[in-house]
Amino acid sequence: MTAGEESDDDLVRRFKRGDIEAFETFVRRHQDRIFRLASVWLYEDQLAPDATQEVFLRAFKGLGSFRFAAAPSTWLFRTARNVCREFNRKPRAEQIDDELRDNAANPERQTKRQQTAQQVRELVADLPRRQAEVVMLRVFEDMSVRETARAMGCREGTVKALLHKAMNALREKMNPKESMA
Amino acid sequence: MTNDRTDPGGKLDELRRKYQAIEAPADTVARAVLAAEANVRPHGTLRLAYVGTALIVGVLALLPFMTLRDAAPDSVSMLPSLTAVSRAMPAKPTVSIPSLGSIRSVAMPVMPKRPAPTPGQDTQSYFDTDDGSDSNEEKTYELV
Repeated sequence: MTAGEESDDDLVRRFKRGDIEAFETFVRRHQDRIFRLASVWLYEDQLAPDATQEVFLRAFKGLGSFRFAAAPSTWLFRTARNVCREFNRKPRAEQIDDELRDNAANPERQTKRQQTAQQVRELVADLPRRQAEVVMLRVFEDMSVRETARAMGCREGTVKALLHKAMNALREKMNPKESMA
Repeated sequence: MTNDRTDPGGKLDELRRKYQAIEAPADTVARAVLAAEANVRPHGTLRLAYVGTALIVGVLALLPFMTLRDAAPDSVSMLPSLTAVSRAMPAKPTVSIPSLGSIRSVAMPVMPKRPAPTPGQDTQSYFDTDDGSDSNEEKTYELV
């Protein structure tokens, strides 16, 4: 968000008054982040577009009664995490049609995205779930410690501790010789 | 990179840049908005059904009032209002209610007291009435 842009809070307030354009702006602002997270968090990253759509569908339904206890973006990240968990629990058969449709959209670009998402997923795959989330939000999404803590529903100190452990584990994984020395 | 996320060998930073270059499909906004509207707002047919149902319920709710109005005389507006009637009525009744004491004094005659019989007095003569008749004697009246 740049200086001249409306804040997320203002957009949500406008949306609560029935302004659909405010919702579109909100989606446009957060779609890439949500999509990237979905690409990594989902076991089947071809479902990322559907998961992203589901996240914003829930936002459309839920932001109407949003009370600003947390930032709208924090709420959105938590929703994305929940949606991805639900998608991961879905039976595979229900996802085939979506996968075929998404593969047909832009094969080259999708392959590149899948490769990157796969690299990130492999990097954090061995980490405990909470550590992987911290790495995703703090390192890859470049969120502040405070934002990460609110998105994960924990204290800032917990985020720092989890990140410290996760970075040590990643260091060992990426440079095994250096960590041995 | 800040201290709490030191990059091991710069590989993490490189991967982060590649990761952050991932963009959502161009139709994400349209898909999200369309899906949201389709799920939250009723479709055209359904919306028509909602409006129709609301109209029917509204008419049914008004039906009793409409029937009463038809049955009422045309000059119903000429009838005095309840407020006007109540104003025309006197606030207090003009007839004064007599007190219970005054009713007793009028309605109940005071019986003259007789002195109690003295000891040794003939009780028969005591109970004889003044007109000389025996009070225990059954009186007969002749019809005129």
